[in-house]
Amino acid sequence: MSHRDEPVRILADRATAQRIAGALSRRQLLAAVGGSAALAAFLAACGDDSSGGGTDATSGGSSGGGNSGANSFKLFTWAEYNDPDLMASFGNIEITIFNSNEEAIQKLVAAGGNNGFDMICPTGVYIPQLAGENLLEELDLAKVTNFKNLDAAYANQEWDPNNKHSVCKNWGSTGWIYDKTVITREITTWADFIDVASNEASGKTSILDTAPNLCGMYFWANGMDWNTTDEAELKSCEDFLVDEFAQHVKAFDSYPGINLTQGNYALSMVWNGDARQGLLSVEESGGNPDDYAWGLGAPDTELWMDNWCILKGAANLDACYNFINFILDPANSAIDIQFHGYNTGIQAAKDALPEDTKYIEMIYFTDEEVGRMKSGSLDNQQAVVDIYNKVKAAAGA
Amino acid sequence: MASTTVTQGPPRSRRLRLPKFILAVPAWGWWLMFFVVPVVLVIAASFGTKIPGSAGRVSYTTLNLDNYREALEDGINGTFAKVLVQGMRTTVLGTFLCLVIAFPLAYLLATRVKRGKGIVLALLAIPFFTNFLIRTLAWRIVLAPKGLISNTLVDWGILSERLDVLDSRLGVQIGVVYNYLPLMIFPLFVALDRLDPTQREASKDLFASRLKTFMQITLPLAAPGIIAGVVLVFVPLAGDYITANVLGGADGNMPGNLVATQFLQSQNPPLGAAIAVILIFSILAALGLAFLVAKLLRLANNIDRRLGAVLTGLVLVAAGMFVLKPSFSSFVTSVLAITIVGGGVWIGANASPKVSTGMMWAWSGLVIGFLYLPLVFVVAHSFNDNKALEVWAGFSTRWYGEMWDNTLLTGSVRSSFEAAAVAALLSVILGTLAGIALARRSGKWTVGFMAILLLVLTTPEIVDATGMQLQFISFGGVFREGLVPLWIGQSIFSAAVVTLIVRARMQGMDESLEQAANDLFATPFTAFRQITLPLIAPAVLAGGLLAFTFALDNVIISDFVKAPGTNTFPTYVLGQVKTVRKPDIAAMATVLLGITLLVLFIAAGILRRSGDDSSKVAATLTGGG
Repeated sequence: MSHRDEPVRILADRATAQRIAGALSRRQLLAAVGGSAALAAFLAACGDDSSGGGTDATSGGSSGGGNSGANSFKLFTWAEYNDPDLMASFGNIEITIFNSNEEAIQKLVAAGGNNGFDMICPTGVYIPQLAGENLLEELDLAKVTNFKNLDAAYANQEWDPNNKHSVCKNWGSTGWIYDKTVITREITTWADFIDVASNEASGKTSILDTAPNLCGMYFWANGMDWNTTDEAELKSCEDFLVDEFAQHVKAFDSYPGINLTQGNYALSMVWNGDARQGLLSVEESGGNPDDYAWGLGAPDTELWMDNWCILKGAANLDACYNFINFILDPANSAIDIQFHGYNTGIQAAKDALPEDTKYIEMIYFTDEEVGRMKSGSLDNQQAVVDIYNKVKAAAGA
Repeated sequence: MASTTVTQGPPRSRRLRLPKFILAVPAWGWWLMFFVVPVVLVIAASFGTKIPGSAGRVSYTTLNLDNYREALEDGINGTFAKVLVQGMRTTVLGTFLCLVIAFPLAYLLATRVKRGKGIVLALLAIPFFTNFLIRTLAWRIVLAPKGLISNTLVDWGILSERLDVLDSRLGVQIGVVYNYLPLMIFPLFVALDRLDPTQREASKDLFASRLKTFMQITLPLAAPGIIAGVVLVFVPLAGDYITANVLGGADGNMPGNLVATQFLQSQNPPLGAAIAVILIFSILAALGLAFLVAKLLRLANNIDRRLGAVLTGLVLVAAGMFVLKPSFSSFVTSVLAITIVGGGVWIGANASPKVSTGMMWAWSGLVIGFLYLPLVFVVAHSFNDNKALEVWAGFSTRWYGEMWDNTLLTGSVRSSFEAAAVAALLSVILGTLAGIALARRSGKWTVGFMAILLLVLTTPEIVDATGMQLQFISFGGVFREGLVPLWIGQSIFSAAVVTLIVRARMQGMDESLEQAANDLFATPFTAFRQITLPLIAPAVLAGGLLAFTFALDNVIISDFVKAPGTNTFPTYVLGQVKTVRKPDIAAMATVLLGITLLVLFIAAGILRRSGDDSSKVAATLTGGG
């Protein structure tokens, strides 16, 4: 219609003219089109079942979810904490992982809300803080029809009376795992642990990447309460860990089980389920599990309970309730236990475990062992986080 | 439209009525909003206070120096100061090693290789285009205590115990040299390639020895390339904490780790901000000191060669002793290292050209082997029949099937591509306009603009990342949703790169064609579309490709700004690094490597068609101009 569409004609040297006129050759065009098509196909494959809510094909096949998305939700949790096949049989669960409660809470607070997640699995003592930040939905226990499967001992905890915000996921404890080909003496107490870490396992020891566990190790080894707020005790903890212990630490690792059995550490502070997963992976990759030893912390050690909580403003509320009921079902719980290796507080699930469940003594503790375990608190949270930061910095200096 | 132009008189006058910097305004505004403001926020936060019990909110009401006091507590013996010094040691040594490793290779390519230069450059570029985090993670496989290399060394009796390099400072040192080596090779190559061979011949004709020619002609002329390489390696290395995160364990901490910990874990952004500010000043001070010393040495050298040589040696030994912690043994090691490097140069210069070329080829072969070693291991271990990536348990292709079931992984890859595509598009638009303005409409405004651009390129990413996190959280809304924060975050650096590439291309181009179009009454838009754009198309394409790669590669900013529930491939891998590393990551990385090769191949083909020779293609593709 107008002048504008007519080409401008200019006299230019041949090379430049070629460049200006240089429409792509047919072969190049084919290559470009072919390349983009391949890329598009690849991205389509990536997108098939990932885009959360609205997808149909993959999530539809599983257990009874009616409307689309009834069984999809976003979960913020610890790593290797649910059987992937079991999760897939429920529906489309998108999992994001964290390494410590502090990290998880920081992410939510920084986001000023649920950060897009529907559910979170915090440790019990952190629930008052999460609730205080107004991050948790109040549970409607009438909808949690399988709540009755949970043993009474694991309901109505001190940090969440009447299960207002949470339902027990599972509980566990802390101990150590070590490579017997490197460490020949037996470790039976936290004092032994510190001694070995400072000597033959110096530079080969990993510590859980959480402040309470790091400081707990010192308090337990020295007969102190790990929830202490006593200035002198905290100071002695800081002095020892920063000046005498930090230099022996090879890594701060919340999931050392598999790392240790890959030869990265000789000694690790570890949660019981993760230690069990490490031993299982040794068998899987053709190694000898007898080269490693697991021990539960002594004389005192941790008792923690992680919980299912629904985040305030969760977009997939129905899916969350469906899932809590699904996971509280004894048959499903038994499948999950064999994967993560923690006590889910459901007696019927324990009874449903196969006879040949491996390392069952690492899942279900004796009364004597349970007697050693002490719950944490947030009384000294800021103090232990400060110590932990200083130890981390000192380890790298 | 055009006819109205005619009635209004010569179009050029109409165009001049707009301010000269008009085309640079979008980029300028973008950087003001998403670079300057976040950095100012970080500085402000460093004087703010953490609201107690709020898990990390910042109050700006009572500004004070408490955070600096806390960071610098105990002076030089304080933990932060120690990590800072340790980080500087890693950075200085890393930069030096990159220079020493890269120089013979760049020199060989620029001066001795006539045919096949393009192939070698392409070989060097491929690892550079592989995902940063995957390249780093790959070293965990290479150096694994129960890995192939460790087992072989133990079997042959070379090591008595399993390899113990991972989770240590040595591991970080290897990782950073590997990661930043390409950033040294390419500027050096470009600088050496531009040298006029006749100058070296003239020196020879004047009976200068080859050593003298190298020291007095080649080296000074290559200085801009050396400076560019040093800055390009030093700055990101000093701010890097990802490599340390993956390979460093407890002992390999870098200062950036402390910043990230305060922001991401310890709920104390003001302290993190103060550490970040101190880090920036340390980097600037270190670079300033380096250039001052270099200048003084040059002065001394001009007065008397021997004085210059002696002083240079002393400075290098002092630097070596700083890096290795002052002691007698570090003195001996430094002297030894400098003698070896100097001896290498001397032998290279005094041996016959054939021998020295052979030596450089052998060295270059080793360097290329080093660059490919981790890639080979990643591809191999993507076929590992084990849940744990690093311990080989037999061949299997199962991960290529299972990775599609990991929706978090595939979703992250998809988000990565989608975010990077938009970020690259934004960068191309902003950068092309700004590049044209810089090349064609320069004026007083250029100085200020270039200052911002250089700041964008040289500020450690962790600073911008933390600032953007503070900014986006306070904005809320779309800045915390979907891929929007990633589009913005990933475009900041890339837009600067595109600007420089387009500017370089246009400065080398004759302006007469655009003027001719003008004189022929083409509207500015028509002239742009039909003349300018085709001429700069290769630069735009190369810039876009590079922007896309940088965006795809981005870890730090993405990790800080990504919206709730979204992950890019790198942030997903970063999350896995600290837990259980499965071979599905390696399988996906292998597929992505294949795609990268395909894209590079096509892009190189297009650039070649448009008339560039192979070394120019490689130079454009790697941002070397």
